[in-house]
Amino acid sequence: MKRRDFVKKIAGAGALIGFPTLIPARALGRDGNVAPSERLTLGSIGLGGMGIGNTHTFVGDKRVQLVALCDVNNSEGKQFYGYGNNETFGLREAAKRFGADIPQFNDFRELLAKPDIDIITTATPDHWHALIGIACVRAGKDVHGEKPLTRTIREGQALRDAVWGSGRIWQTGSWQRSMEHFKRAAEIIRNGNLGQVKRVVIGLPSNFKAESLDEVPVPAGMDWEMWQGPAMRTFYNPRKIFTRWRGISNYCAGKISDWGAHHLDITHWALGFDNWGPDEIVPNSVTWPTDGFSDQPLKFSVTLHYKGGIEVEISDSNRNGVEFFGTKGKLFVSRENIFSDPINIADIRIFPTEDRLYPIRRDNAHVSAFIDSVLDRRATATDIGVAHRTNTGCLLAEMAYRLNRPIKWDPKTETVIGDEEAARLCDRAYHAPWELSI
Amino acid sequence: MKKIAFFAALIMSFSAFADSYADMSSYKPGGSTAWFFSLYGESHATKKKGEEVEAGILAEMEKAPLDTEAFRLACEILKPIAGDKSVPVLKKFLKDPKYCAPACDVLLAVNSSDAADALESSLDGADTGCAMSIISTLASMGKGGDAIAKIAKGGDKALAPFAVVALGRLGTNDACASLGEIVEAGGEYKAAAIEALSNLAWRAFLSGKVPLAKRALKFVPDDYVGAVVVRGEISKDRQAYFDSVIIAGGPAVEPAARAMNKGRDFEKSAKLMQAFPKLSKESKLAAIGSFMETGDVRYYPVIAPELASEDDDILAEAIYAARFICADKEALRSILEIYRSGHKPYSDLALLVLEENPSMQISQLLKENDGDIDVLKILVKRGDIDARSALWKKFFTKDGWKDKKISSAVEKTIAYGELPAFASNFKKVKDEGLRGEMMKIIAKKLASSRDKNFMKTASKEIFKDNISKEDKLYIDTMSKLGILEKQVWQKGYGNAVDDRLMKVSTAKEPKRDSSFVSLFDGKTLDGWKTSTGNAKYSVEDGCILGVTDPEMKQNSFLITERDDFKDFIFTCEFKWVEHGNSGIMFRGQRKNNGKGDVHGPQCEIDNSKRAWTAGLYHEGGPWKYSVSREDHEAARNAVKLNDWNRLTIYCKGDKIRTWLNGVPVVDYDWGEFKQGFFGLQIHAGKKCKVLWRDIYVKELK
Repeated sequence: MKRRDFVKKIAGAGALIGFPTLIPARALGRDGNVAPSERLTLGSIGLGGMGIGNTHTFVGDKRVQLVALCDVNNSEGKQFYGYGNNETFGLREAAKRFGADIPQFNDFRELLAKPDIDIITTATPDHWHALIGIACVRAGKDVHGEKPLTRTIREGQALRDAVWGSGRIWQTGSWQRSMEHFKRAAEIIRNGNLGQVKRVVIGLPSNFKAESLDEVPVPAGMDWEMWQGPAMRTFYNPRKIFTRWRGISNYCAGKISDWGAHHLDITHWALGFDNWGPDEIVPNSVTWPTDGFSDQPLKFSVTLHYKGGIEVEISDSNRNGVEFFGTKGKLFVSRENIFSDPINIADIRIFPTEDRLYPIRRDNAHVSAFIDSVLDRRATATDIGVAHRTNTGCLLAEMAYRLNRPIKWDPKTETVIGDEEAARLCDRAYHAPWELSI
Repeated sequence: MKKIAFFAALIMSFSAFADSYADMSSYKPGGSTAWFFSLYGESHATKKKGEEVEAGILAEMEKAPLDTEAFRLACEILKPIAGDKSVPVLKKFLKDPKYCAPACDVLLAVNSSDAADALESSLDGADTGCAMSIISTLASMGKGGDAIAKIAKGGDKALAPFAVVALGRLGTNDACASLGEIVEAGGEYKAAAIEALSNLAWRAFLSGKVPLAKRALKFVPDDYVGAVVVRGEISKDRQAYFDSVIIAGGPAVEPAARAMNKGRDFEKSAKLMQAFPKLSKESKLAAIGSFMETGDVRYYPVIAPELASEDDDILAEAIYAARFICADKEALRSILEIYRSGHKPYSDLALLVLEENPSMQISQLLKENDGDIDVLKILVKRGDIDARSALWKKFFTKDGWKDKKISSAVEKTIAYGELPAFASNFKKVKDEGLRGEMMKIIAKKLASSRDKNFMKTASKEIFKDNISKEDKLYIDTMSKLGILEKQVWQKGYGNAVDDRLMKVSTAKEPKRDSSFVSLFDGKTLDGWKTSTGNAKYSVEDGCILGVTDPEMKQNSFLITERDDFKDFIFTCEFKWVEHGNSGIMFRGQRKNNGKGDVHGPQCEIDNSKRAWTAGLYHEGGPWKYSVSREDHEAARNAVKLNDWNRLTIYCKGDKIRTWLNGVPVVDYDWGEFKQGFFGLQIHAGKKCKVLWRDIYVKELK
């Protein structure tokens, strides 16, 4: 991509004695008015709730101009029924919100063929993440991809290798890493203020309760075949498209990867496991539903064992957030709170000379941080390698409770040790006409 | 009902267990998936059970055509447990587009030679979709290379490019050779084969097969951007290779620079550093990024001249690089200047550099300027203990806390952990305003957590030994935060003040003597004026009579023209003609809000059951002293609803005391209102008529 010209000369900058009168590109995010011809051009793939939300955030950054929309849902009317919510998502709604003159696509491959697109934001169900991600970086785009990274570990490796080989910028939507207090928690722990961390307790929301979904005719304008893509073919129900796909293992591993992509990510960050993984994954308990559309557990608890004897317990019975237990105290961090016992640990000052993490934006804006990275050609805080390790941890936890037995894992070679059946769950066949290219 | 009975049977015997498979074939979308969950749990419990389940499912699959969703779920169960027994059964589904993909998924899991044979032999005569699923499954298994190569070299428009990609993924020597042949033949799929080969090379390198990678790259053109990373990685001197790409410029710069961002060695960078001043813009940006990533300050002298760059982007990058690799005082001084210029977009960036740059040069630079509150703030953020003390010192000076800039700096930079130290100043501080400000900061910090338990623990630690638990400020703040439960003896009054915040007065009422001056001449309202509201005030029989207007919405006050009564003893008598709420303002003031609303301390006149007459109310604010403690009984009984009552108010400095018919009531310290007027209130309401007489004041020197 040709690096764009974002800098605007300011009037009366004489105040900067002895310094050239220019605005640094990175600082232009909020107040700078950038001419449309000089903006980064954005294509948005997947326009459900998350996709439309992300696209709003992107166009809120004045350095970005939206030039293409893509979704398989081009049907009329309200599809988001049954939730007391009258919002409609999909291509038509997006066109209504962002402008009917923006070119629209049903097939992401047509969007990627456009050479005038610089960056892509994708928010599709998980079973699409690897294929679309690889296609994007292959087409020379920088990508903001939603979490969890992929549906299987093998897909994660393929996507990671493709991004690494392409020289493209990748950011995963695990936005907790752009929040000041999560960064703070990670820095506190990395600098040994909790002493040696031996145990981490992660709380996630529970999976969907069992409910039945009936077969419903596919409405006109809805490309159900494309929505399913590489996943196994099955019947259509509009609820599947809106949120309930998270409860179906065909598309998603469930809350363990959905929220694990946030909280396990923070755990890895704080413990320095960004390029590592667990040695052993032990399921503590799992309760399966007895009926209904969802094949995810109603309740689960899994413990991930890391080197140095660190145990990370993930369960939907714990309080939502991450709690670190160290030899000098404990620290709890969630989206709302950070606090510690003893109290002063949570607010300890980290000196510039200590182990500091990637500086985050003052406004904690994850999407704008991605734009910064695209402009600076610098790795993002939730780069592909990091996201892959987080996702791997989550998927191993899923495999362990599915098999209901401990799994041994070699984080160096990224292979299951001595359990051929577990190893089978790392990969998955695709429905035609889709295949991984790497 | 049938299903519940079935479950019960399932638990009891295996014969019933076998029935469960029958349930599978009766599955309809939206119908019960109970069989799935029962088998799912059972199949993974023990190996033996797994074999039973496999046999059962296979029998069921053979019996009847299953619904696609049932078939998918069945394959999900089979996937971890399937053995070679599953292969012949699943093979039957490979040519059916409805079932092919899930069947492939199980065969991929089995990954035996039988499974590969089954897949390969099904390629003939399969439709395009099934053939694709089979090809990609074989490639994932690392098998069937010959068959895939044959298709790749064949002419099928849909399948040939698909097979080319699969060959790349297969990653064997043979696949590499086949792809090479396709490239050399120069046909329609040459470009696809080049991409597949560079993928193959990259994967081969990542899995340690460098010779294979090299062989694959022989067929890939030198200027193919997609292979620049792998070429660099396998070259003898990767840094030399990547740096030469950066120096050369062009589209390969970005991937080369990003690859080189890891593992750059300073000693080997001489060539790039030498070439740096003359590089193209693209290459320069890439080089700065690559230098920045090392965190090595030795690179900055090369970048520093770019601080005078004509190019905006390069300049921006040069400034930003200072965050990581600059220890050059002059450059940092320029950045401080940008911050001080206050131009919002960039002062933010400069601030980031000043706060985050690890060089001690920054601290020194800032200390040269540390009289400035903004600089102090940065220093505190950098963890400078002296700067924090300096900031606190400024705050604790006589009027330092009134300076909003200092106050907010303290508030922003103070941390939970420092709150106990901060609170320890309570003992030393006499100024009530400053104490209030300190409390505000602590309360704000505590309230920033929504967790009540946490607030409880935190407040305990913060206030330990620093402030008395009986301290008004403490109780007030803690009850506002909801940490302390409100204690009120007289039940049922939400606006009553916490018992702990009030002490019952024991002072003796001062006698009215000749030193008192009358404020009312008994005939006219000279020296008095009306203010807000439209109650009627008149002189009747040597008394002032106030009568409410039923329509009025606002409280009325007859106030003294003098508004500078400071310290005094005030006394008067009042009597209800018609019961209603009233009161006496003292040190009263009018708000500067256009309407001139009256506000300030008010001595209550209360006809209601709660009997808070002589209590202290803040007109325009909350109750300060309600007569609601148990030991206020005497005060509550002192009021005479149908006779004259005597009120006395004593005010000196912060001290406020009241008496009702000689019974002491209020003993309260309140310094907010220093002086003002007296006012006779008629509260808004349907009914109220009050008489006042014998209004005297003695000013205290």
